[in-house]
Amino acid sequence: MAKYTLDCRGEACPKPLYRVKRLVRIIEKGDIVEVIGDDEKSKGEISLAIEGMKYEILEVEDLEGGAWRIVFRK
Amino acid sequence: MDNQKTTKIDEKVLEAMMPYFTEKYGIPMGEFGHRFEEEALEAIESSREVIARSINADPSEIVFTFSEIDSDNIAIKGKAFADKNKKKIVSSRIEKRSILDSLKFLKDFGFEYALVDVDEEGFLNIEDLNDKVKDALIIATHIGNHEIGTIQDVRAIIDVAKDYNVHVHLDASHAYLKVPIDVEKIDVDTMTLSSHLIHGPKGVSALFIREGVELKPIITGGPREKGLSPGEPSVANIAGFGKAVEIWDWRDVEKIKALRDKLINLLLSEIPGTYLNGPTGDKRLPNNVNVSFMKVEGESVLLQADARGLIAYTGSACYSQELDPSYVIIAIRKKYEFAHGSIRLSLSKYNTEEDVVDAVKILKEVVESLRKISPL
Repeated sequence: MAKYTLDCRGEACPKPLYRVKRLVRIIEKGDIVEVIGDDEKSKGEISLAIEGMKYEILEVEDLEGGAWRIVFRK
Repeated sequence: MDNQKTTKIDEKVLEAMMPYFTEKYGIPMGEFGHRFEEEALEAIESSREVIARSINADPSEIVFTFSEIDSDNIAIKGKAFADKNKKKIVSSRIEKRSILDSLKFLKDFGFEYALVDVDEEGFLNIEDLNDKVKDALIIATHIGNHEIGTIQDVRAIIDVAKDYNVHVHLDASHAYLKVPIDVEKIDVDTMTLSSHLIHGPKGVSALFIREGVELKPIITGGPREKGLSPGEPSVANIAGFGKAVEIWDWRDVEKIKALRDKLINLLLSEIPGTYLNGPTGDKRLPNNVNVSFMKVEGESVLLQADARGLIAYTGSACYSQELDPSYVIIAIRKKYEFAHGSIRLSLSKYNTEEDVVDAVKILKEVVESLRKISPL
């Protein structure tokens, strides 16, 4: 099981979601992905896409300065 | 459901192409050549004949190019540079980029262009066309619209053009083998045909050039394809294109049309705040559905749908790598919110009723979820 981090801070929707979708295409089932960003719209859409792909959301955390962190398992 | 972007190649087409990659890999050099060259020539001429027959043209009126974009460019720029007298081209606001960008390109060479208005279903305004076409050299437009599926009143367009002796170029990429086209009945001068939208290969297109029409080559390098597309031909692709036309079954078009109507009806009835872009019935391409979902962005819908297994297309800004949302939807709706939330679903013979039901289920879930988190 591998762990990946996508730092999407400073990137606006839809780029963070595109990056998540590209990453999950090449990683293995069971791998963990941590996404960090500060675009509020992306936070909601990434969570929704993870649910749509039937992956497991492990953590959703608000960070300082409007940033956020989502951790999920493929 | 993105079959207006491209289609899956038919297995029979692939089978027909394979020998030209491995055993018969020659390219024709002219009438007299060695065995490999003769085999290639036979394959090309056989496809030319099948394609010509499909539109009631003569084989000598078909030129193979490498893409529909090439065909549009060769026809429009070729006609513009072949004529020394007129400098005006007329087109519409909802054309493909291959046409619109050709007009912008020609502007740098002293040509001017005018864009005809369209109505709210995407039909060219014939009165406006009549006003603009009088001193024109070319009308460059389409038969079936790439985004909203409008099937133009081609006869009315050509009648106006012929009144003023104007060359008519039609991009029939999306309409070819979706609606019957007979060049003896419509007096078109040049016309672009697609291979990869009819389950043929990519990398090849055909340009119909009516006998007697002169085009100046915009790519030079030899006499192949009347000197208009002189690159080494992809014999396999041309053979595949011919096969795709040969095996085309118009019964599939009727099946697709029924699926289209079911999809439209379900989308409009199941998802509140959904609007159909473009016309209905026989005035719409049989495989095209284009809807706008209010209060969501088309791109978000697409990404979420993709995550759930549904592939579609949006003219929405980021997705299409444009700065503005779909110019086609803006031209018919005059409102940005319709363009932002628009998606195109396009069907093929491989789609089923189950696909249609699943697509609506996915889109309903996606649109409702996005609206809950949407700032719009």
